[in-house]
Amino acid sequence: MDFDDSGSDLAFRQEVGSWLDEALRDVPDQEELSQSDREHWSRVWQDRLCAGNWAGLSWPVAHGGRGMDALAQAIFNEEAAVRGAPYPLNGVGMMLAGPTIIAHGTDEQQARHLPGILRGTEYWCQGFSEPGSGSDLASLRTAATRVDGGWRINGAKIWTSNAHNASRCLLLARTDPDAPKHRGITYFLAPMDGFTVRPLEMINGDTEFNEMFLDDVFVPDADVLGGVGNGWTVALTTLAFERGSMALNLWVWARQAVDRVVDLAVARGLADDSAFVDTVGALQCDAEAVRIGSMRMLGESRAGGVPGPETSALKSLWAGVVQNANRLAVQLDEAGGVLLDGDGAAARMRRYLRARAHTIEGGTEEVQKSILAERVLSLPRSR
Amino acid sequence: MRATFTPEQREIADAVTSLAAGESSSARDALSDPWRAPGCDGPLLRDFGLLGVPESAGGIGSSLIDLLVAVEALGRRLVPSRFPAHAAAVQLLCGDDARTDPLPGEVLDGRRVLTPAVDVPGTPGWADRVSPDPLVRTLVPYAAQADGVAVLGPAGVWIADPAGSTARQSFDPSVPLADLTLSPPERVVPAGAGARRATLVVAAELCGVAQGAIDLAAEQARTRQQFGRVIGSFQGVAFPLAEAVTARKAAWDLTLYAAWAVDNGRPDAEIQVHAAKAAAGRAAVFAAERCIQVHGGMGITMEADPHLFLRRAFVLDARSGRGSWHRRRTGELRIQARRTVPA
Repeated sequence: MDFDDSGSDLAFRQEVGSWLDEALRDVPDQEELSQSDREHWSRVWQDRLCAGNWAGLSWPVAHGGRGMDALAQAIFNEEAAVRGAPYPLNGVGMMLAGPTIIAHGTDEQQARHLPGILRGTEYWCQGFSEPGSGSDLASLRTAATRVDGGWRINGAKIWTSNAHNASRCLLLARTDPDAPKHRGITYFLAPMDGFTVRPLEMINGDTEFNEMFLDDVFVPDADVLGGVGNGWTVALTTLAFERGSMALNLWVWARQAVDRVVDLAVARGLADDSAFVDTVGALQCDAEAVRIGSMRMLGESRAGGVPGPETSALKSLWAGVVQNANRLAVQLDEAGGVLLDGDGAAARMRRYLRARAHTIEGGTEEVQKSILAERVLSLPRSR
Repeated sequence: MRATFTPEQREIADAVTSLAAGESSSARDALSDPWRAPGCDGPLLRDFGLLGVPESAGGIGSSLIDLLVAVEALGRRLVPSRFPAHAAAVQLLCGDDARTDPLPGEVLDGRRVLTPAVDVPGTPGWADRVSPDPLVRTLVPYAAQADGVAVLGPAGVWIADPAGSTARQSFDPSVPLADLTLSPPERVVPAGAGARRATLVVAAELCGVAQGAIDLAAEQARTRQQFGRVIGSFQGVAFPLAEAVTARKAAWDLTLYAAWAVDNGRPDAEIQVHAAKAAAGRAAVFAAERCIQVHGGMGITMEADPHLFLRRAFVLDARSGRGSWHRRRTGELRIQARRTVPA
């Protein structure tokens, strides 16, 4: 077992690093920016990725990508995260929509959408979750009824990142209310004309997610992806890409969260407290375990294996590190963090509150544990 | 391929798993009778003694991970063999890269069984941190059943015949423990990475113990019925076992990486070893406690097996530096690294 980059991976890492250093030269530290400024830089960053031919890094060459594998994508994402690069504004397009359309789309659909994603002109959002369907996604109730030439869709979606910037939506809707719940779903590449998008204010004041309301929205037949009634299978493909892409650089965020709390304690002269040292020791163990576990996952996947349920363990560890590190940072503040006018206190509280989402988004902590219980321990389904 | 086991490592794991599965004596035997060598003791010491031994110490270029894979497989079944202790002793002696003379052949082929002595009574860390050397060691496994002791001290490592040995009452009777008094060594060689290498052998066994406890707990959760259902269908039962899976995976990944870092002389090897040992001890104790809990009333009887995992987990967590000491060292080194970061 060898944890070093191979020669070609190392060369690629260096190529990526040089490009990033140059491309990030004028980009400010994102942690200190307002949400609207962060969004501005996310758009700039997306354009730079497209111009630099990085958008389709792990897409097949035949579809305009560079044909590299998940490890190469991981190297890019790691190097970008280490340097504090902005989130690209069309992550859903590059990491979810493109790969799903490549896997399930017709030639016509691929020709219609893939070039726009690579050029950075077609932004996407993901219309899966609903107010009544979170972890139990297959219970979704947004309804599509047949009309001449397509479908009329009614319903509501929620937790939609970036809906206010997107022109297209990966939309799940129920096309057969009488079929078993996993069978009656169809996957649409829906144009967002007629969607009502409303921002959701989160507990930290940000509005990165939206609600979407669909009232008699028309979607043509040409936008059905993977066949009517086959939406669950297609959705699982998207979710697999989502899990895969999420796992690539989680470890960087875990390490940075620990860095921040240690730096804060050092600056305040609190870093010698034995309880603090012990907590940092525990955080370091878990943060490193995320990094090493990610390497092993990518190694297995390059060796031809499929990432297993252990991915759930990594997500769980990562969420724990980031939540605990951010809570600790708040608690190091004056009066336990409740005086928000202290130096940097509001930003720390914002990060702490944002981290509460980590055990909810992308599969709740409870869903991750269920996956481990069922697929690693072979325990019966508990739900 | 990056970060994957080699075919040879998979073969080692399979071979040791087969040996352990065919073993008729168990950790339970020592609850009523004095420790006796299990049948696989001899074959392990004879046939697997070169695993993880660097060429400079007389090995054949086997990596430390090769050895850890074997030890982990033994830990899963709580095999009461001297092999892990002997292997840790050998690792303690071969941590100096500049070493020129190989270890004695009779040590490498298991005719002369060694045991490691790296803990000083009343201190939580490695004996090389205690100066002047009080020349006493504690928590020495199989001292009466070994032919010599590999000792760690502030000046280095050496092989000793102890001047005095006091058997202690071990919480895990399948791992007899003793306090030793030593004469001042005549010749000491530099320890190098010896303490790190030996500690990772203990960490690997802990990862095995954690896995064995998880396997036993899961089996109980899949079969025991209450309220008309198997109890594993209750999230209150299932979720703590999922947490044990996560903790054990973290510990094993840390242990494998630390072994690679030590073998390759990486600058982060020290913190990685401390993190691995801390995480492995925590994972094993946690898994064993959950295993007891899942077994309900039977879990607190001597008749059921879960307590055997807890005993082994505690004894190993305490050896080669306590888990709490390793965790604190991990924190200290992490903070120290940030203090020296250029602003």
